[in-house]
Amino acid sequence: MADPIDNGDTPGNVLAARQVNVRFEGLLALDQVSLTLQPTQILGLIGPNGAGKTTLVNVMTGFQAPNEGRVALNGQEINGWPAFRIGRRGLARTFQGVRLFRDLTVLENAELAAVGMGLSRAAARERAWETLDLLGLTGKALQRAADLPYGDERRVGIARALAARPKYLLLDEPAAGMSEEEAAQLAATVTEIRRKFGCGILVIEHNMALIMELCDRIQVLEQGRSIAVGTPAEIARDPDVRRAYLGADHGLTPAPRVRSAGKEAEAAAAKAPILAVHELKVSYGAVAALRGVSLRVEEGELVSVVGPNGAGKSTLMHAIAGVVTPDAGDIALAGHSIAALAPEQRVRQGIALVPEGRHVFATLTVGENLLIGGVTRRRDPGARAATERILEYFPILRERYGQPAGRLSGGEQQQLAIARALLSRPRLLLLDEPSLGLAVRIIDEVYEILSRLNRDGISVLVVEQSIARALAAAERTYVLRNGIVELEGGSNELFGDSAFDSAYFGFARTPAQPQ
Amino acid sequence: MTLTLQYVIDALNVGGLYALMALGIGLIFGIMRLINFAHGEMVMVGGYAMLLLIDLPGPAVVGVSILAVVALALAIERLAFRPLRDAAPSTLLVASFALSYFLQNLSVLLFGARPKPFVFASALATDLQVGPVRIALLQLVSMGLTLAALAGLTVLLKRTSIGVQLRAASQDFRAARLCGVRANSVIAFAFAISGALAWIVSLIYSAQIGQLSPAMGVRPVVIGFVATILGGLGSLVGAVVGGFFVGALAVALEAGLSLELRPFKEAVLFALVFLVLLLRPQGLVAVRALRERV
Repeated sequence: MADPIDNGDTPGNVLAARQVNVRFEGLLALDQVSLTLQPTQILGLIGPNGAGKTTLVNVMTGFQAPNEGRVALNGQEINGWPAFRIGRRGLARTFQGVRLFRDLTVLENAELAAVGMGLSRAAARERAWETLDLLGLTGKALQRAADLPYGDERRVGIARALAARPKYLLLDEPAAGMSEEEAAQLAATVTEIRRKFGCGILVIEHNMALIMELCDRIQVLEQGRSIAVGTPAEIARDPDVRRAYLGADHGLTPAPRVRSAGKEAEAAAAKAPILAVHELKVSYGAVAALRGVSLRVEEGELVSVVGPNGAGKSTLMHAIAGVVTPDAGDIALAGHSIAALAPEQRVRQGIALVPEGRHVFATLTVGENLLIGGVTRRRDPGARAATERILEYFPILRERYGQPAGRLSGGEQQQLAIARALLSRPRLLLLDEPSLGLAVRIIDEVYEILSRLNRDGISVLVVEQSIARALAAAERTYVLRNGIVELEGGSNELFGDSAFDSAYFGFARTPAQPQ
Repeated sequence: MTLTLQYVIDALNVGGLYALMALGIGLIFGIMRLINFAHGEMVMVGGYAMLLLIDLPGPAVVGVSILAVVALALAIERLAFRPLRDAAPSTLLVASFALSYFLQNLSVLLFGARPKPFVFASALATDLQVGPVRIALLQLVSMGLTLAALAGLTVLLKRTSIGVQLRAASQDFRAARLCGVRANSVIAFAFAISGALAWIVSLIYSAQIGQLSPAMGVRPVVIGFVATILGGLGSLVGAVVGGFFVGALAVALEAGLSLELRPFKEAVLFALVFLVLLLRPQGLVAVRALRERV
C-alpha cells in the first residue's frame, strides 16, 4: 500500500480527484491527494482532526478552489465550476452542520433540492415524497425542519441531497452526535440508498464502527496527505493508520509507578476522591455530547481521558470547569458538589483548566497573563514566593516576561497556559489536549512538566487524542467514545490490550444488541 | 501656517471628544459584545445633573455629577443587562435601544422637551491669544481633559489588577473566567469607567453647544459608534484612533468643502468612512486574534 493511488489518466465513469493541493496561508491543507469514487461504491474517508477531509470534499464539490490538481466527474473536468453547476451534474453532498432550511417543512426541504435540479414543482413534490418514503420520513413530512430531533435532522439532510438523484453522494459526518442505535439505522439507510440508486457514496466519519461496517473501501488522510487506501480489514491492520490515530509510538511505555500500595492507598480510598463525576449528561440543542459519564480522580493521581474526535472529551472538561451546563448528573470536588458554581467560583474551590488551543491572552504580556492566573491568590501571604516556585518549572517564561503572549511559539504558549492555571494553586489541574499542534519534542517537554507537577502532589486529569502520550503519563485511563465511557483501567493494562482498540476505534463491534 | 495650526487644534478637539465616546462604547463592546446605545443618555444625564447642581460650589458639581453618571451606568448594568447576560447579541442591542428611548423620554417628562441653555463655567468662554493663534480656553481645557482621561485610563488598564483583568476579559471572556476573574466585577467595572468617560463628554459637549436637551446624546453616540467600528471593534487603541480619525476628517471637510457642499458635510463624512471600511473591513486597528488551528 505504499502508493495507494493510481496517478494515471482519469477513467471515464468515476468521480476522481487527482493530485490536489490546497494551501491556507502557507499551511498545506491537502498535499498531492488523489481519490477515486466508483459508482455503487461506498468509500470511507477517515483521519484525525485537521487531516483535510472536509477540505477535500469542498474541493470536489466546488466550494473550495484547489491551488493545484484536477477534479473530474465522469470524465469531465469540473475544476472551477460553480457549486450549483457541479450539483446539477450529479454530485450532491450533506454538511457537517446539516444546514437545513429551518423554517421550511421536511417535505419542502427535499422538494427544493429537486426544484434546484430543474424539475417542475409537481414533479419535484412527487420526487420529494418518494425520497422521504425511502428514508422513513413520510410521517414527518409536514413538520418544520427546526422542530426535528437531531437524528431526524441528519436524515432530512440526506433526503435533501438524495432528492437531486445524484450519481455521487458525499456525506460529511452523517453520524456525528448520533447514538449507537441511530448510527446503526443510518448505516442500513445508506446501504439501501446504494442498492436503490446505485450511486457512489463517500462517507466522512469519526464513528469507526460505522465506517468499518458500511464501507467497501477506506481511504485515510493524515495532515493533508493520503496515507492508506484499502478494505476495512486492511486498514484496521495498517501500522501507519494506527500511528496516525494513536500518536507516534516511539518506544513509550508506561513508567513504573513508585507509589506505596500499603497504608497510604488505603487512606486515599477512605477519603473522598478529589474529583467525582457522576452520570453526567450534556447536550447542545438536540445533539447529545455526553450520555451519562462517570469518572473519578483520587488525590494525587494523574488520570487521562482518551477517545476519538467527537467523543465528548472537551465537553467533559468544560462541564467540570463550569463553562457548559449539564442537563443531569453531578460533579463533586473532594466530596462537595460544585455543579451549581460559576467557573470563577470553581477556580476558587481549586479547579483549574488549561483549555484546548491554550487561549492565552495574546495582546497581554506574559507577565500580565500570569497576573491573571494568580488573580484568585492576590491576597494570599506568600503569593509572590508561590509564583516564583511555579516559574521554576517554566524558565522560558521568565525570559519572555515582558513580551506579548501572542508572539510566543506554540510550545511556549502551552507552557504559559499551564503556568497561568497553576498560579491559582489548584488541587486539581485539568488539561484539554495539551499536545495539540505541538512538535514531538515540545510535547515531551510538556508531559515531562506534567509528570513533575504530579509527583509534587497535584492531581491531574488530562484529555488527549494522542494516546501513546496519555497512556505513558497516566496511572489510569478512561476511553470515551460517542459520549460514554467505553473502557477504563490502569494504563499499564490498557497498553496493547485489544479491548482498548475496539473501545477506541469501535473495531469488531457488532451493532447494538436488542435489549 | 497659522490656519493649519488652527485646524490641527480643532481636529484634536473634535477627535478627542469622539475618541472618548468611542472608548466608552468600545470598552463595553469588548467585554460583552454589546453596543450600548444608551451610552448617549449617560452623556445627557451628566448634563442635566450638572444643571440641577449648578448652585453648589464648582468641585461639588463635578464630584456629585460624576457620581450620578457612574451610578446610572452601574444601575443600567445591574438592572438591564445583567439579566440578559447570556442572551443573543441582537437581544442586548435591542435592549440598549429600548433603554436609550426610555431615558430620553424620562428626561422629556422631567425637564421638558425644549432645550435648556446651560453654561457650567462661563470663564471657559474666553479666548486666549497664543502667538499668532487664537485658542478658545474651552478648547484647551477639553483637550487637557481628554488627554488626562486617556492617560488615566491607560494607567488603570496597564497597572492595576482590575484593569489587566478587564483587558484579559475583553480579549477572551471565557478564558478569563477560567482563571478566576469574576465576571460580575469586571463588567461592573467596565460600566463604571464608561460612565466616567461619558461624564467628561457631557462636560465638554454641553459647553460646546451651550444647551441641554433630552436627545443631546444621540449624535455623539452615533459618531462614537462609527468611530468604534472604524477603529476596529474590540480594540481600545482602535477606538481612540477611530475617534481622532473621524474628528480630523470632520474638520478637514469643514475646511475643505465649498460653501454650497458644506450642508452635506456629514453625508460626505460617512461616505468616506464607508470607503475606508470597504478597503479595511477589519477596521484601522485589527484585533490580533489567536491563530486558529486548521
